[in-house]
Amino acid sequence: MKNKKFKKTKKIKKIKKTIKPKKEALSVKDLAKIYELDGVNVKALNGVTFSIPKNKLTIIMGHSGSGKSTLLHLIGCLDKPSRGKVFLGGVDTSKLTEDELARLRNKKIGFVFQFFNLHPLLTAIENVELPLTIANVSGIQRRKKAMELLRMVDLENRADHLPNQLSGGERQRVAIARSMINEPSIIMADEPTGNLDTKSSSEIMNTLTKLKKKTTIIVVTHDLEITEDADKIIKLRDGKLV
Amino acid sequence: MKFKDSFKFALNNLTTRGLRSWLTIIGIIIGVAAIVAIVSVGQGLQGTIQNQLSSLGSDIIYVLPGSSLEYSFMQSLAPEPGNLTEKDLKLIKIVEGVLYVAPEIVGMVDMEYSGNTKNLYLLGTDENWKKVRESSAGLESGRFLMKGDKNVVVLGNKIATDAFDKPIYIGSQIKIEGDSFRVIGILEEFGGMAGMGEDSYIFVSLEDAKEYSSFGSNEEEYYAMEVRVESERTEEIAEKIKQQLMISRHVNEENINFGIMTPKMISSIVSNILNAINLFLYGIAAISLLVGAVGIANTMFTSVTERTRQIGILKALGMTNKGVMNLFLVESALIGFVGGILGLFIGFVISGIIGQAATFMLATTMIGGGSLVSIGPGLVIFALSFSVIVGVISGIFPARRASRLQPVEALRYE
Repeated sequence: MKNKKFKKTKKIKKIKKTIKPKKEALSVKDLAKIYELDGVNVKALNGVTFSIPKNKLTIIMGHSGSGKSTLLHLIGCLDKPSRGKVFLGGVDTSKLTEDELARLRNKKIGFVFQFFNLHPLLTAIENVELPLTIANVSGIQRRKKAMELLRMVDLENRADHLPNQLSGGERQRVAIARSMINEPSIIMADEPTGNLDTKSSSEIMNTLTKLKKKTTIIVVTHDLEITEDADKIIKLRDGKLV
Repeated sequence: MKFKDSFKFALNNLTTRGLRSWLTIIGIIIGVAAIVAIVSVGQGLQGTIQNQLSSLGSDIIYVLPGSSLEYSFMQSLAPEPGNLTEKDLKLIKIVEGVLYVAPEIVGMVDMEYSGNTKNLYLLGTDENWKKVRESSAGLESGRFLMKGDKNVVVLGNKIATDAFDKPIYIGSQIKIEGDSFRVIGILEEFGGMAGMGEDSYIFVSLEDAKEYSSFGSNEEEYYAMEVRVESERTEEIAEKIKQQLMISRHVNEENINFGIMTPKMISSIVSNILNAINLFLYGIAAISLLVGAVGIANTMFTSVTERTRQIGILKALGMTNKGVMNLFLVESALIGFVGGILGLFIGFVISGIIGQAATFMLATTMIGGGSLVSIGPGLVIFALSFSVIVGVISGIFPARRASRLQPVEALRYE
């Protein structure tokens, strides 16, 4: 009788382990990243564990060198951890191949970078379309969708402009539109206002905040001013959670 | 990413880096143009020569003096005293399968007409020459030489029409080395090869020819003999003639002092020479293409480095390693393709110029006209395919390097 009860408990624990709670968009467990620099091990991230709620705005904060960008790269599957796991929509990303991670990024994640990272030879609309171009979506379909998104960020009149013909704020809005075109589960923004003036920064944060109705937003920043609308704040110092 | 989009990306990148792209493409253009020009002129020349040879007749055998076949062949182009004799002539005439034998004596003479003097080839022969060359040499006007003819000439067509300021007609008086001759016949234009073309010969009787050649022996000697044999048996009868002459002249294969040439042998020698020349030229063209390929690889490596951040963006947005590799391979293939198209065009122009120049020069020196260039769809397909393949191969290593970049490292690159 005792053995049967023990076996049942063990089975339930195993099931609980594989099924992740649906309220989480993302969770990390004991995540660490260690770089070797001139023979010295540098712990950019030192064992962090947390979860990100769905359809909320989560801010990851910390001073320069705290490990916040490293953390974003790891949870965005742009880099591999030295230790720990990342669960994205219930999927253990440590078990995926490089190509599978690429497809995951294409389908599930939208990125907004500090320096915009728009393709310099593509127009605004072509930049917005890029994730769908990579996903082999037909030209007509993706053009239609891209135009809708540019309209949403008030840039439809600038669709045929190259990035070097746009202001900083406009470029960032194009990047936001690009991040949304594949209808991602999560949008990850790394210092999205870092290169913008106050007015543009405010516009960008407003846009991102509005998006949380549709998707989960994670913003990495050191700027206290943009944390007002955050649903959750994660603070990092020296690679650890505070 | 669909091929259409990869192509658009590649075209975008190439046109943005205009000058550098063109400098890279030039290497391929030169290589492809060289190969196209060499192949088209080579094939055209080979075809023209083969046509000329086949028009001479596949049933004609050439008997030449000398110690080896090749030497005999070369000797026939540069008049020197030979040692084919009347005895040889009589022997050949009775070989089974032989229809006609025309002995020949060759020399260079000064011919004067209408106040002008030209140094031209003289061919002394008899009435059998016309019978030997029945299928190829026609008469435009007058008649050919006959037995007993003296101080009369039959002219090759070019001599009658182009060699002098005024055309020469039947009955015209000309001078050969100061001696008067009457024109009794003019051959039709043949367009034969240099040294073998009737268009530029003065035909006289054997008796007359001996006055102007360097022959001095008491015994009748001939420079060469043309033998017409029963068709379809050329090789067999050539062998019989060879065996009979070897017995008569008391020689064997090791010390043979004459040569037997059939059209098949001439064709083979010409082909071998042309192939050897072509091979050498292909080698040079291949080196040029190799340089072009290295140029593409260099440009692509530089491009990967310069576009590291762009590669990072593409990977961050979900492009797989294979997708990145294909992107760069399409770009390098496009460089090869554009180089191939332009190289093809320039190659055709070059081969056309060479063909025209060669035709003009060869026509002036007694060879007939016609195209010396051969351009077929096979050459076009080969040139384009080859240039694309060169482009792709050159781009493999740079493309691999691009595909292996880690997204986060690439994004950090400045």
